[in-house]
Amino acid sequence: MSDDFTGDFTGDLAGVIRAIPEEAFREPQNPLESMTGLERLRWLQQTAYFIWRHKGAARGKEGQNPSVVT
Amino acid sequence: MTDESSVTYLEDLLRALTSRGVRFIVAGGVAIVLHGIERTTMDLDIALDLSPENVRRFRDVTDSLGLRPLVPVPVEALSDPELVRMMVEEKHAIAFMLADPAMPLRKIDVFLTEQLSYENLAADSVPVEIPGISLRVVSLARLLELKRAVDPPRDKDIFDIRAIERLLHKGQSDV
Repeated sequence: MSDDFTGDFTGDLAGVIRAIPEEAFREPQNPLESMTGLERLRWLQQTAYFIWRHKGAARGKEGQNPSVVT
Repeated sequence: MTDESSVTYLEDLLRALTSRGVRFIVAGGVAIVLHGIERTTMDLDIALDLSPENVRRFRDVTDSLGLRPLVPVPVEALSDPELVRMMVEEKHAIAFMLADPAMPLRKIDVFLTEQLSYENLAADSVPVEIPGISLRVVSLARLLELKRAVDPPRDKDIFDIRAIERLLHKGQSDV
């Protein structure tokens, strides 16, 4: 799905979107359930590592000026 | 922890987006963790600026990371308001999801609804620095609002609401 689209592609894609079942736009089944024990363990390690490194990085930032958002 | 490239997957993704100048605001579980709440978070939820040039930059990053849309619709569709409207109103989509086919947990959800748009969340976002990465993250108060609006709430929403309320209460009592 990464090809470059140029010009007006709304018409074509509107038909494509209409043809896709609504369920396809919903959250898929939790991929953890189809992983092996080792794969699951490695993924949970990654999550834990991110939490350990960055938990609370936003603390004390409430009320800061959001005007820098462009 | 032998695979260093995947140990920091979320960091790699955030770094790739910010280094390419993609404008976005972090929400969902990652935002909740950054605010200090321990929570198992699986994917990255973002409000993306849906201007064409920003969507192109986003597409370049997701392409380079091997992330593909879960529906057969190109990322560029995000910059077309009519197509976004169709996905929201006709398909009841909340987010446009991309994932790595080889590792579906490597997933990023781009919010589609007006309530969760970049423009709507920008005013309620805060700057956050993690090593080498400057981010905007949805504020704790706005996260609480968004979580309370989930109907029906899932177990994780109920957990998040309680944790955010505790954290906000603690913040007030620390003043």
